[in-house]
Amino acid sequence: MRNHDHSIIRFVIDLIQIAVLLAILLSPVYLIISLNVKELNFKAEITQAIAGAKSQR
Amino acid sequence: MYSKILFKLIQEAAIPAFGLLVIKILITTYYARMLGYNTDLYNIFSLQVSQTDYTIINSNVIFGFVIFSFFGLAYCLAKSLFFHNSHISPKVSLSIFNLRVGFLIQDSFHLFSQTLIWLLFNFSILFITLLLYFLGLIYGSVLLMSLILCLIGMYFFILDIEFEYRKGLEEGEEEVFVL
Repeated sequence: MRNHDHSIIRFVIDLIQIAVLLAILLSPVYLIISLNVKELNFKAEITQAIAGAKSQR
Repeated sequence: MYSKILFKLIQEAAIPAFGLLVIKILITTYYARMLGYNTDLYNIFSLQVSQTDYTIINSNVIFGFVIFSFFGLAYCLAKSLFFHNSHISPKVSLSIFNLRVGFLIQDSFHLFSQTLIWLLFNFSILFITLLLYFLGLIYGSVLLMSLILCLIGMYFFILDIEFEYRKGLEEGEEEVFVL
């Protein structure tokens, strides 16, 4: 562990670098799930379900 | 000041990520237009399609991703298995320099970081493919192909590391791992 920089700035820079690397490595996941299915609009379904539950009371 | 290995990994990851973005735009535009959706560069990342069209478009996009990332990995593995500067023969080395493709001969630091990045992209694609397959949103053949190509890539990567490790031991080097 000799010649290692233990400063807080180095730690922050390392964290930023790891975050950038992870973001780049997970970019295929974003590219694939960016396409949406019309019938599977989860947000609309949940909103509708909540509205339905409220009107039944 | 900054970690050299992390910087190198980010540098190596930029090209595959850009390639995947281009493939996504091209294949999605082509298939979405063929299936009758009004697609352009602005709505390509927020496109809403029916479930059958989703299967067609995403299966083709993933197929493109798998082929692209496997070819990238195969190029890196070929470099590390045949043109690695630690075990290249003088005859091959001479012919490479005669052909003026000396850039193919690289050291372990470049080769392993590059191969690792391509392998991680392969695994990232395999992970999302597996998830979508269990949700019933893509074809099984795409998952199978992704799985097989990932395993082949992994096998040759381990083979290369093992080869270099044994070579080092034969030459009497100490067992030192620099991370």
